[in-house]
Amino acid sequence: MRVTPLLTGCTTLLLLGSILSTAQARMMFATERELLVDVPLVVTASRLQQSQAKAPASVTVIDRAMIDASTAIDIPDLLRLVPGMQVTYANGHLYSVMYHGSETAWSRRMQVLVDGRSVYNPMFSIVPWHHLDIDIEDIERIEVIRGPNAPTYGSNAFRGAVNIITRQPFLDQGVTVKAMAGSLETRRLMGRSAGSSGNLDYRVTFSHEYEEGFEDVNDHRRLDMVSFRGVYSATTNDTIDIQLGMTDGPIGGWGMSPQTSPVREIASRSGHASIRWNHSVSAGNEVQLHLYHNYLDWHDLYETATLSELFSALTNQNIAPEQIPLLLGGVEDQSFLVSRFHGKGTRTDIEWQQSLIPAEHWRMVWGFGMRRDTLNSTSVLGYAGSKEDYTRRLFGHAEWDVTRRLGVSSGLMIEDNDIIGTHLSPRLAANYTLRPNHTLRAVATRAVRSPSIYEANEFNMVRFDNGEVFWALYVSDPDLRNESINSYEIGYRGLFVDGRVDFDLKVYQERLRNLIYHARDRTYPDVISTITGGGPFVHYNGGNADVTGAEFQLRIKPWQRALVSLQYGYVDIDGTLVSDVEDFVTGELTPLSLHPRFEESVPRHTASVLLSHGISRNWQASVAWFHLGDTDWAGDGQNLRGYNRWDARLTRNFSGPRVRSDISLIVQNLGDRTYSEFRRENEFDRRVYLQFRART
Amino acid sequence: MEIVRQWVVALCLLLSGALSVQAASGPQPHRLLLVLSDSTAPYQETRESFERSLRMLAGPAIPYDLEVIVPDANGILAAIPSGIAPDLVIPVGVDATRAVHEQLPDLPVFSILITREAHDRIHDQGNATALFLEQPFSRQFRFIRLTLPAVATVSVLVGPRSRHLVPELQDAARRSEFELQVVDIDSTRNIVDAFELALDRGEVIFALPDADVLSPGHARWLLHMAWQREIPVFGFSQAIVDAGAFAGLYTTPAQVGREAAEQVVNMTVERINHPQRQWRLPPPRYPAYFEVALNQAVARALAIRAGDRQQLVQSLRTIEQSDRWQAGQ
Repeated sequence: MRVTPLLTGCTTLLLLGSILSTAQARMMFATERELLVDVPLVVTASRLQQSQAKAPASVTVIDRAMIDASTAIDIPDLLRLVPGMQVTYANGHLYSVMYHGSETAWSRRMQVLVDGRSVYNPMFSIVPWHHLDIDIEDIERIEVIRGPNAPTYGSNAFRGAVNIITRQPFLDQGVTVKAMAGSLETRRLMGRSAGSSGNLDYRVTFSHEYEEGFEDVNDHRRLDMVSFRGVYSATTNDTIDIQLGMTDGPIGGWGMSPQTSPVREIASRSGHASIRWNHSVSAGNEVQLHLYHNYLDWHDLYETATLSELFSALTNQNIAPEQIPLLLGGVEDQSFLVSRFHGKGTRTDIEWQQSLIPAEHWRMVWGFGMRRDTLNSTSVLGYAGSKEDYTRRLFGHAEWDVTRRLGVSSGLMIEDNDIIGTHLSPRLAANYTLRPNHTLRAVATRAVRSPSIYEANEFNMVRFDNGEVFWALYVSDPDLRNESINSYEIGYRGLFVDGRVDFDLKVYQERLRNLIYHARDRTYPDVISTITGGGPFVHYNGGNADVTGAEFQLRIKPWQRALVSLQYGYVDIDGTLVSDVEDFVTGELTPLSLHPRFEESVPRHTASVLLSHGISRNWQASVAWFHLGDTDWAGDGQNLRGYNRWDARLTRNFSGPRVRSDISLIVQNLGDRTYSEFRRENEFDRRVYLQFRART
Repeated sequence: MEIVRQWVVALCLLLSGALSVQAASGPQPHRLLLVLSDSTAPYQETRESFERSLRMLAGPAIPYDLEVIVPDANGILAAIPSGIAPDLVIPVGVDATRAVHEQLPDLPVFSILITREAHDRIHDQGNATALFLEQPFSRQFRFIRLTLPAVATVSVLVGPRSRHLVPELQDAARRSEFELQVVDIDSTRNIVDAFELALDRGEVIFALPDADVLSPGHARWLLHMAWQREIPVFGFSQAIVDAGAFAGLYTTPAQVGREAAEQVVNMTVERINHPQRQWRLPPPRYPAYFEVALNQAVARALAIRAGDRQQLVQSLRTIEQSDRWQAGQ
């Protein structure tokens, strides 16, 4: 295992943290001061907290107990427990997480927030799931809003939003260590120290992970992470929450072709800093100012094979270097310095918001913010420089309890950016309580997703040393427009048997227009396209889809330390996707042909079950089942058969007077029935992990 | 308001006799010494309310000579400005009560804005009474029953300083037909585990004002954890309700001042009617005035339709009067 300076620094921080402690002398009996004391207000975690029954959307919550009971070892795997959500490995270190499918390896239609910080990165417009700068152990709960949530979180929340809420540092006082080893040469080590010093609650976490990835795919990762969270209660009404984090290490570069994309390593680094000030005037009435900065930096410069080697491979003939000038009109044989996944994306955001209770039976939140995205990538932009995009937003959301049974809510997000100008995302929702614990909801939402800075500006070319384009890889349609979705849903949530049975059903229709996918311009006049008949991929508004479906989740807590969680989603898609266009050079793109199997890019059935049971005080067992129907994955993905996967977890707890520990055996794909994730070569066979965790 | 009515009736009856005595001997002011624990807001609020209520209730018929002193940082009482020994000393808070107990012995003492435990520890004997600040457990559990009729199990957290209250808590909970789950913070690895255990076991949390269990920092944690698990917390002050507890039952310093003034007038009238006696101090008691605080934001988040505050206060008073009446029968 490689020990980095980062790791050494973390250990020092851990030691420092564990030294801090507080003690307070008190009288031996309660006095009036304990009754009269001011109590700091509890910081609310989301924009407008409400009970699930009154939420203006379908919500799935994965809490800490469920995380501990699950067979997931990575954060995205937890989202397999969300109805209608598909999770797939595009490779060993690139997760694609999507709601109602139709996403490529670079899924970009869902907002993901960590404690209110958007981790969506302008670099390839993705959520870098291994670069969230948090450890799965630090998560308190995950709230997934199933359905467009742009009226609340802006245009990235086009099809849904995932709110990852990390644990308050005080919850984990002391030192925690975790070690894991298992299949794919997995080795993980995590350490955490948390405590309080005066009015400051703090947590320092570090982790190191190594995983080889899929067999025969160069997709390993070796990442070190360190993060800090400090929650300072400045006064009883003011809290300052500071978070810092960084992840660093190499990941396997794909190695799709020995001539143009050889096996290599990509240096991958991310970091963030976030500061949030929360001032509570009274419960339900507070203001918040949040400033954060994220970055993702990939270093991927490599040299390709020479032209003669490349043409030899393409034509299956032996082409000598001196033949190249004859073939290419005088161009000498040469290799190229390529920066395929090379560049840095940053996101800086500032937001002010106020939540208030303006009158009885009313609640409101409103705010405004500004975001700056930058992209500095020679490979994406086609030149050594950077692009930036400013987005300004104004949002509001109001809820009104019209009667005891009927509540209505409305939200609106107005965004203005440099790419497409001003656009609106409104929502209207109503909740009707049939009888206590049984609620109907109806939600209508329109959301807009602006092309990202990456989608709008890509001009990925490999050029000869004379400047002529040798190979055009990716380009952007200069007339790229925003995507839109009109979503209508009717839902029911019911609690039965004293709340031990929780059932949620949603029936929906979504109309998606102008979806941005890659179409191929087969008329592009670069050398490679001319020879191979290929052509660059163009970011193009070529997709339209009408999606209808239904999904439900059933949670049963029959007794303490037992859980049954069943999720099912049915999706039917009726749509078209342009696969080829022509005449990019003239600037007027004309659709040429349609993708023959676009409607199969969504698995019709997605289901999962988690059963967990505390066998005794010290033993906990879980079984999970995941089902995904046949899918013709979009983009680089392939047409794959569906699968049924069984997982299991067995945990033995040890409780000592000072240390509490547990050992878990986690087996994924218990039956070893090999299936493929996203592409055929991503063969998922049985994986076994042993995890040890101890907490003081 | 019932108690005010009782007092007015009592005063009318008694003043007829008192005024005849005063007419013969001339009105002698009754000397009261108010000792504040310090000069911070709660003690000043109590003082202001006490003075105002005393003026309103006694009027010119019963003259009082009220002096106010505050102990210094070491708890040493300053000399009484008039130099005359008071008829009754009214310490406000635990520090004042202790200073009076140590430095002004043998005087009748009426402690206010004090907890029952503090009073019991300081005045184990002697001529002393008190008006407690906290609410009786019976009232607290009735309040929980009124706001959440379907709840069966209540969790309470205790520590070294409050675990002796468990039998009393059990008894009060049983009377309101609750199953009480007691979690001792020393029985778990740390305070967070104790909170988790209490949240696991109870449908609601009843928070005691014990700084070992619920310091302001700890209170924030408990409220946070309870909020996430959608478990209502019943607290002991407006502050803890503002901070995120679902509901609270408490007496304000102003209410303490007012009720203390009523009791002082009552004691004075008793003394006027029986001039040969010393101050006859009533037994220590819990406050008759109290308020209900409800956090509407939390109620909404937990999907609880909380009742009207005033109605809840009135209902609790009616129940208590009914209990007293039945006890009298």
